[in-house]
Amino acid sequence: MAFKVGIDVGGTFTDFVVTNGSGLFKGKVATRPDDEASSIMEAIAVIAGHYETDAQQLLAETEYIVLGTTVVTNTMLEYSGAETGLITTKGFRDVIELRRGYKESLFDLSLPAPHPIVPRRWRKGVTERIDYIGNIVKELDEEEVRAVVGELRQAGVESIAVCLLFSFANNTHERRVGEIINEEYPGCLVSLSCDVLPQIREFERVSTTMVNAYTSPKLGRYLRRLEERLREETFAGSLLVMQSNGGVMDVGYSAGRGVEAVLSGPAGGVVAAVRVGELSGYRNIITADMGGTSYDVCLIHDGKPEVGVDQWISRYRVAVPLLDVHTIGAGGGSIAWVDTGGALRVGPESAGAYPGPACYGRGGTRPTVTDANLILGCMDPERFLGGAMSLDQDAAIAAITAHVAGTLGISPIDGAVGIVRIANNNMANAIRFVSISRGRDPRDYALMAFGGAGGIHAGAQVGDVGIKTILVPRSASVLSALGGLMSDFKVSKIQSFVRSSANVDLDELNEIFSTMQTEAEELLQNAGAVHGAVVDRYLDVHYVGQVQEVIVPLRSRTRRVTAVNLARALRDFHDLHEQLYAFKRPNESAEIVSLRLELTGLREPVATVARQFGKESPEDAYLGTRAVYFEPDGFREVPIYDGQLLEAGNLVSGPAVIHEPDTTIVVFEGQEAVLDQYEMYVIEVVE
Amino acid sequence: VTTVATQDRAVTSGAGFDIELEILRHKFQAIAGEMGVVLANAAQSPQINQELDFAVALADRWGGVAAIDNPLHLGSIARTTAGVLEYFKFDMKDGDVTLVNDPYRGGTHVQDTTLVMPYVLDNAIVLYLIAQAHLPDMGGQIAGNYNPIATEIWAEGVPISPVKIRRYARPVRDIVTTVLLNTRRPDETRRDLESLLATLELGRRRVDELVDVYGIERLREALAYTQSYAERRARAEILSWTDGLYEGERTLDHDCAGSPVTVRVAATIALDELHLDFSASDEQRPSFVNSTLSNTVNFALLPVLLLLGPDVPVNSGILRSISVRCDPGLVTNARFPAPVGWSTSHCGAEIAEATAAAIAPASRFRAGALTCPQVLVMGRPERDRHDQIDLSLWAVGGAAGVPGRDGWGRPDTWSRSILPSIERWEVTTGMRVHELELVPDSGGAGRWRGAPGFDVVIEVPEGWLYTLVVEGRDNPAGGVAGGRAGAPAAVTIVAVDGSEMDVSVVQVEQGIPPGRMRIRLGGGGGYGEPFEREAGSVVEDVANGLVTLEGARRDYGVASRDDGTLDEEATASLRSVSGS
Repeated sequence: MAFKVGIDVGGTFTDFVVTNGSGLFKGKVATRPDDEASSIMEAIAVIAGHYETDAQQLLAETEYIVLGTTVVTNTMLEYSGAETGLITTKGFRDVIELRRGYKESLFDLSLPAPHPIVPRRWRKGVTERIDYIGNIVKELDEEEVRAVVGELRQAGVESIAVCLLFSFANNTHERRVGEIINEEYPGCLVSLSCDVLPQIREFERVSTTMVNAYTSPKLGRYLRRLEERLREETFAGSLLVMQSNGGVMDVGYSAGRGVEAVLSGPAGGVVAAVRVGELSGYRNIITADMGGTSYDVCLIHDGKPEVGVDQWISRYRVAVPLLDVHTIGAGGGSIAWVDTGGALRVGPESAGAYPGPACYGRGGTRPTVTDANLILGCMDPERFLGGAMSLDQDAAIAAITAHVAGTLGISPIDGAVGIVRIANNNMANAIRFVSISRGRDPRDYALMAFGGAGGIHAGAQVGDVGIKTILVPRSASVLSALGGLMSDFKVSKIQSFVRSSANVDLDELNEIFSTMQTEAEELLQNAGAVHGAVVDRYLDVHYVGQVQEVIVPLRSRTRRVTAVNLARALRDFHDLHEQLYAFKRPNESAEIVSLRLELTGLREPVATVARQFGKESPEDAYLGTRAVYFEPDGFREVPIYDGQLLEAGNLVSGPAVIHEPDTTIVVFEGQEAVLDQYEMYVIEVVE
Repeated sequence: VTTVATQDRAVTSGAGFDIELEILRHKFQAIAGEMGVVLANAAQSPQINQELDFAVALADRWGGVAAIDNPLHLGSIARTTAGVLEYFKFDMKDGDVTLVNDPYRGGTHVQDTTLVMPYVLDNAIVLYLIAQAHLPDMGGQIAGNYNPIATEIWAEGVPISPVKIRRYARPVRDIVTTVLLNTRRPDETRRDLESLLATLELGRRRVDELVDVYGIERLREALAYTQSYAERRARAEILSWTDGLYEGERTLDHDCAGSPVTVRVAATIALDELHLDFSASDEQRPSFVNSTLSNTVNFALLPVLLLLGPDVPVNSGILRSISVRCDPGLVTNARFPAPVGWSTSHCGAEIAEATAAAIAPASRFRAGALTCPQVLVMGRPERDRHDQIDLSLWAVGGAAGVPGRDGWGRPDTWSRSILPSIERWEVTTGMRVHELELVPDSGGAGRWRGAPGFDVVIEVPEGWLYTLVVEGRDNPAGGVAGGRAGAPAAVTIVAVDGSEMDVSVVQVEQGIPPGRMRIRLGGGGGYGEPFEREAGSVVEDVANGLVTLEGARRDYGVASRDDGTLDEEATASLRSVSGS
């Protein structure tokens, strides 16, 4: 009997999902602030209790634990990373401060400078220069490097980022600087930009490398300590970490690659969405994770989540491939307010978990989306978190009256309706952003809602963007943890290769791809991937003069890219460009900027159980009726169902409300919800 | 439109509050934003995809701008649209697209070209989609249209009155041919025009979707609501200012013909309205620093937009509470055919600074300089009149300090453009950048320090001709409330032997001695007395190399010990003796 454990440590709760081959056990424990490891051990204890064993026994029989972690995200949010230095080409230590001139707002004079994760005095220039072809035009001054490393060591720096100009074209100098650091300062963590992101454009590369240098020591320490602790408890399986690209990797790899774990948690949710969606028969999905403070949206096309390379985290540019999760500040805790122009606004300020929405009765007095949902009857005050907490309706009404309805001269109910509509619109705009503005038609996608409040809002949002199907997995609240059990090993490699598309040396191209693949294979082997691998290659291409690239798949049936493969990809570029930007120039030659390779090491899939469809009537789960507000009619008495008692094949016609222990689903008029064989609520929208 | 006299009324006038209109307001803004992003990503010319020197907007059927992606162009987009509508009165049909670049019809300089397309449904115009961009070349004496010694607009480039480049959704070939004949870069210009047209088409599709869901009537109401909402916000802000008459002025080093130029404004604040009159400014000049009234509106709005902050939507509603006027024939409202090519830098900056200086005492405006003096550096191979490279892209000046935070990065309102990547630059131009580093002591000293400026050193090819203008040597970015000015700008040639030579402040299509060119833009102005700056922050600045040891003593009265820590005693004595 082998256990497989997925754990996702979030800001409020640590979620887990376990399987021992027959069914899933899921649950959550409260996250201990600043002590992820203890939260994990607590989760292990709860799991052991469920299987009537102790932690040691459980761990001894556990094949693997996959971990989603917020350590990196929090390190960046709190700027609590390592004392970090930077070594760069002399004359360019301020590239990171210039940020290519970027400011988050043109009109916000109160916005302070980004916190320097590497203070200027620890950013050191060294004499050397390589030109754009890769020729060395000025030799590296090794003595200078030694001196600089000595200074950084003296200053107490424990991690050094190295980013020299044009190291993507020739990394000799960068590697040499790495060696010198190892000689002069053994034990110091070194992040070379030619390892982290060998890609043209120095600001993007140096920023990504610095984030890696800044976050890795903390992540590494945490993972190694955790692994040690698990081993002490007789854990003999493998500890794997969820990566931002949607794959998993071992501790050895992850410990030095903090920048690749910035989206560790959300990535798990998206991966799980891909798998559970596929089980239920959907390969085109827009995921919407609605938490307390944020709403995360990601588009999955043909079973593959979109990958983004233009993200910022805590005001630092991170250009490694991340699942393209678009986040807006709209959640259950988002605060509603009226601005000086008399308009009702929702967010981005959030009441968080403390004091939380007014209805939590923890001292919050400002109205939130959750308060609005409560007084509109979408939530059951006695059934929140499975009944663990009761909600104060009067407090919600008072808050809405004081801060919204009173000012606008409308009733609290109309105020609540307004809050929900504004929030829905913000969220619908996020859905449009990941679909329509990238040339995808949202009507071709199902909306998968998860997180505590996702199921309340999804039904109202779909009308706005024309979505026909809503999916709400029963495991909605632990989806990120579930993702860990379902992810494959994955290594993403990039190498800049600036060439006119008319002038590509195929042998050279193949040699680079081959090197990338060999390196990736080695990493997978170290990580313990054994079940075969799949390689995907891509080209970053643009028209001459453009500053943004289109990522084009390069399909080849063999290890080699042929002339036909390349020609095909370059032709596809024009069409992809048209899809994204509404025009193409097929007669113009394009420019290749970078090569990408993604190596996926398949893992044994987690067994899933299909349940037999029972009867259609949901009567066994019927709890009674409640007044719930539906536009445009107002309050209606609608049936309420206990989700725990619903069975596969049960059909709930809207309007109705289904309460799962930690999520609520509102089924609107003209919608039908069926619980399918794989624990998924499939809600079809008639109009 | 009624004038709202009190803050309370400004709020309650939102009664009868209609959420759908509020939702549509956000949708308009999202459409303009998306059009802008797509244009930037699709375009192939650096003016559009890096400098982001463009604006896209939606306007109601009377030309009132309801949403714009680039607030800095509000004045010019509103006035251009109004001009086009007037010109083609009763002759705007479905499928038409008009083009205009005449600075004297709402524009700024000839490079900025505006397309206007009506959105028509059931034979009635519902709204207009607008896209404006800086095109690479529009003829004239010098490629790129920056000609410091132009005395007439035709020496800068070819002005075009409103023409239709599309009729019945088909290109008007004779007109397009004429436009392309008048540029040195017809291929790039054609591509840019195509990108702009694709952007308008994208906007049309997005509006189609809104019409499907909400219907025309709601859309029309929302276009009006969006503007009246912004108007309420602007009036609420202006109402909080102290009524009265205020004056401000700012001087530009020189007009490229040897004389300084002063911009003067009289600001009248009455309840919730602001009137700006630039009629005391200097006479217009025979050089490219003149500004059309539209460009003057763009820049006069800058301090107001900063006071409104990022939360207030920028649209024509704001313009209802603000009037800008100026007698013709002055540098702030030049009379045709005066040249106006550089007004988007200077005297645009002086217009913004003079306005800020005027309204600061009345409002809670506490910033130092909003802009910093610019340099112009254009170069081309001697034999090729077409291939002009703009090196001033690399010039980076500092932002001013404001209460609560030091200046950082570029001046805020000038930070829309994306600076080139050194590596991409070398790949595309073959020119090597040798240095890009902050200049110590260049940020204006103050309780809140101005941001330092940057030095950029570029290996310039021999045998090239350069057109250069340097401003900001005599009038660097100013300090406020006791804060010092930032360091001045300079363009220097560093010869192979290391000797340095400043280039002349104005030169047109001339060679320069061989060597590397160093372009230095000034730092931002400081805010508040430098001696009141926390000594610890000064020590930190010294450790980070932003302020020298000597600068710390001289400008801040702060002394350090040999180990870099603060010498409290010496500091106390420095600060007591020469305390300003």
